[in-house]
Amino acid sequence: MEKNFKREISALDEIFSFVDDFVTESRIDDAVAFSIRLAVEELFTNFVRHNTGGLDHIAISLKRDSNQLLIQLKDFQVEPFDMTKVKSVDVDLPLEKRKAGELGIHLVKSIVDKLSYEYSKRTLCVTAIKNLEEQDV
Amino acid sequence: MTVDGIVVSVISGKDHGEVSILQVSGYLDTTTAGELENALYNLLKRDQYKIVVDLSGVTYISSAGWGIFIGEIKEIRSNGGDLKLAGMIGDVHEVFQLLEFHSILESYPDTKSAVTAFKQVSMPD
Repeated sequence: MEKNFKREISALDEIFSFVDDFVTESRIDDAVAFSIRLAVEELFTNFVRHNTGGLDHIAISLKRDSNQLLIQLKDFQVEPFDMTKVKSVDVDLPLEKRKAGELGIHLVKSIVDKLSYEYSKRTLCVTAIKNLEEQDV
Repeated sequence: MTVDGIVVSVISGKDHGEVSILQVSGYLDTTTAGELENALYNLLKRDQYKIVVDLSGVTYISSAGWGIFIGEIKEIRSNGGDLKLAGMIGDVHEVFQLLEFHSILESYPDTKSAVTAFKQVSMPD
């Protein structure tokens, strides 16, 4: 399934409905569905907040094969920004040194098995892959 | 699961002593986290620093929601209070653990035990 969404935070409601449709059609377990929602929200909000330039929409694609889920977001006509290189939250840092804003990417890295970045012809593409166990579907 | 927004209400009463309970239900994401932030801010404005957040009705929390707890905890503790989480469902608690928030915030199975924990700290020797 693939769909374009407005480059604005208010698009999240529509995005969650899109994810719900995918989860239902693909008969995905609730716990994995929770991870998909989380990954999509964190990646989308990161695109909206940090990618500069860009068309008025961001493309989200969700695919499932027998043992993997693929979550892909594409942003067109933007400057390069590799979120996968953003330093992970140091969970050992004392409270006063922790930053709330670093949590999103840390979360995505924690819940998916692979997060990759491509940039070509001013199109930025981030792909998250989550491996499925037999009990997840 | 459908997106059902968020409802935040504050419960303060004699039963809870100085402890305020923020009862939250729904979906805590980038679009709704502001409502929790406002409710928390209003408590702090009234110098209420002993807070239990009842998350038993919350089915989803993204980093926007978790960030609010981290953002306010410093002020709360510097004023002699604390923020304790209660009643997290399995999926939410799993993220809480992934983020290793258990080293920062105390969590309890329900609001009653969280409120009791406040009372035990307040009791004189």
